[in-house]
Amino acid sequence: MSGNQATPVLRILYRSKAHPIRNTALSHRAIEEIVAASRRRNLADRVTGVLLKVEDTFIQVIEGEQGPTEAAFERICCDERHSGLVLVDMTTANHRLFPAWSMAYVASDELPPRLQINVKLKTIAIAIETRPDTALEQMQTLLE
Amino acid sequence: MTALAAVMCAIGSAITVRLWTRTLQATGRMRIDWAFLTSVTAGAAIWATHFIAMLGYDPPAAATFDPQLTIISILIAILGTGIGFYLSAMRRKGMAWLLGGSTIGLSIAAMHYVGMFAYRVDGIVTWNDGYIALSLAGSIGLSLVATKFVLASLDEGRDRRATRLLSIGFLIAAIVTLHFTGMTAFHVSPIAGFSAGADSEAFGAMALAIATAALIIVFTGLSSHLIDNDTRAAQQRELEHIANHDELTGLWNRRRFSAGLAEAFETREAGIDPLFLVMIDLDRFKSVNDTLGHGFGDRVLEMVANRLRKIVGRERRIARIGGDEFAILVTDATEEDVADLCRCLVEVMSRAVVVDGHVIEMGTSIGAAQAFRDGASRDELVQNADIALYAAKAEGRCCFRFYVSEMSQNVQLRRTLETDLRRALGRGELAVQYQPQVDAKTGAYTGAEALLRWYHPEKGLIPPTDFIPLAEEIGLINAIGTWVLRQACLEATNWPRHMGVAVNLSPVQIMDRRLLRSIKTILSETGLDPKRLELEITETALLGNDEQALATLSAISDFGVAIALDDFGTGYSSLSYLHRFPIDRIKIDRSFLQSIPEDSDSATIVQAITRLGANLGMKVTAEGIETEVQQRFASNAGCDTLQGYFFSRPVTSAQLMSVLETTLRAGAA
Repeated sequence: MSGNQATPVLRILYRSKAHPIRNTALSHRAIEEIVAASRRRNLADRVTGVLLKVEDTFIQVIEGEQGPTEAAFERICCDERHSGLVLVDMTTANHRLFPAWSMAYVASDELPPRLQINVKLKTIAIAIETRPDTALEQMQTLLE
Repeated sequence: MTALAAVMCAIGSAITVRLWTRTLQATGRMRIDWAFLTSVTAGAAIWATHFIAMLGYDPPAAATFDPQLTIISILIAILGTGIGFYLSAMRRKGMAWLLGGSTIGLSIAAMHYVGMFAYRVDGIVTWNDGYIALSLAGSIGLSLVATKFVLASLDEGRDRRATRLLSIGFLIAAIVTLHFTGMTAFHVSPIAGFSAGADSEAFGAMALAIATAALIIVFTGLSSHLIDNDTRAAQQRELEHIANHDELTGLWNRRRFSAGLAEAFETREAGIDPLFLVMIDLDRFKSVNDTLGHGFGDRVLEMVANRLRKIVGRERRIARIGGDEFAILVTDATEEDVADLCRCLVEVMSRAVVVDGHVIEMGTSIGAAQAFRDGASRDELVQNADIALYAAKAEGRCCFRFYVSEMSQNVQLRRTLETDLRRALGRGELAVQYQPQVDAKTGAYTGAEALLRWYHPEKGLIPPTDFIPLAEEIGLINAIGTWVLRQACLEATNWPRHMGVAVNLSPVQIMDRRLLRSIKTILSETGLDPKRLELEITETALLGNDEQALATLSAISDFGVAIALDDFGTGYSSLSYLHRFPIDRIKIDRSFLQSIPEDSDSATIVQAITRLGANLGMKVTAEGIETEVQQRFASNAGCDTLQGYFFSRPVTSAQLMSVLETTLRAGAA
């Protein structure tokens, strides 16, 4: 899982709504299961990334070798448990931004001690629309 | 030991008939191979039956077997029946039966009697000729019957199993009858002084050994038949898969889809079990193929098929019925479920497809229809789903529509209009009217624009906006356009020489390579001076196909015909068109003039276009002038020619001429 490989990495950033297209809303439990499954898969495929849930919006970054990363994104696209998916950015880079995370997961919630994190998440959610690069940097600091 | 012989005979015959049918079905070299395998099996069975029975035979004297003759008897059994089986597969059915059947019967007999010569008994042997003849007749006769049945078992429409069983029965009968009749013909008298009886213990062991060996041979024959059957079945399944599935996506192909639809209709009772047909069409897929190549397009299609499978679920029936067209049969679902499914598909298909670092943005339009409700027949269901799909596309794509009968009415209306339009030309329902154009400074008539009119016998006057797009779509526009051009040129020859005529050209006409020739023909036939003709084109005609449009228009311009750019200011209005194309006149769109004097922006635009035209050396016409204020504004802005209701509505050529005469007289007075 080292980020210093010679091969370039493909990085995909997208956002979507945590509302399934057909069924009722996603439970906490369901999201955690999705994250767990994605971690198992990503470890095998050497894909890394972050998933944020800001209120009802998902923001996700996946990065890795082109083939596995494209395949991971295609699996995400086949998933009807979220909706309104928008591909925000796709770039090729020399190294990973989140080499240590098979899939970091941070969600906003109502607990007072988490106020700081909620604010940061909000900022990222706003930045992603206009300045994806800044949003990615903010995501990195969030995980530090 | 007789029992052992009987078992041997029954098993051998059953397997022989199995293999025999394969011989009959095979062709060419395969037939020789199968005949060989059948005869080895049959020969082993017949010979073993005989031999075991002989071992069980208890002669009144000591007996032994001559090894050479015994082996010869086996060979006779194999070779003789082999020839018989091969002959029975001849093309001429009658000969096949007669030659094949009797050869087999004779072989059984020959084997038996040669085998009997090999049977050395220490006594006096006498033969009864009558029984020998009887045994021969029985063997041949029963073999013929067995052959008849085995041949019949291949015919269509028969109970194959029963026929084959009969064949087996008669083959057993042939072998058994020959043996026992043959043995009745055989008589041994012991010679005094010799010990009586055979060594039955040794014979028993031998019988078992022979039975085992023969059964091994017989079952080897059977297993080769079974192995071959399995291989054939596997090949058959593979062929069926290929015939029923789309090679690229592995989904059902069109053929399987039709069959699946038929099955669904047969198994579902009308009105009780719902059956839905969902038609899916990818939007903007063609450009993927065009820009990134077909190989790439194929990979995208594979991914699309995969998304369909994921969303629809494997139990449903999904088919690829065209390049980028898919269909799904949905059963055991409510209308709501199907709507959910369609919504889900529209959303998932609109998500970006990322392949090899390329991002493909497509969309999908979906039409759904329910069987028995919207369409009674299969064809109607398909048609309705298609109509719904068409409606989804018409409503801006990336959406789904359930079929409702109004859609059908729209389509029906269109179809009627289409048929009527096809007849309109021949029935003289089309007419050309002319809207005069006047000189902005002097107010004198300079020419007129030809405008097409369709007087429908029932619906009355139909506006061009309603039928011109239809004519373009159904390929009638060239015929109609040529007719209008001819009519306009013909009528303009009656007008004063200084007056020109302007005729609209559809984008479709400009793409037609015959356009230049038909213009030349019409001008020479009507005798109109090319300088009096002006062709009006729109910017959309130039979009996308500039190269060909440029070539055609340049040729027309070189011939002396003027080109006018119609509706200027509404479309792309790219200045590069004005520069590159041989345009003689700009016609400012009516919408600008009509918002004068209220809208100051429009006024500015009109002035700008007029100046632009003057600088580029082009004439400028202002259309849609309805008031004196507008007329004065356009003249002051510097337009060369004016056109609109303020001067005249479109009129017939005769009316135009009478108006011209009045003004001329007035001018003279």
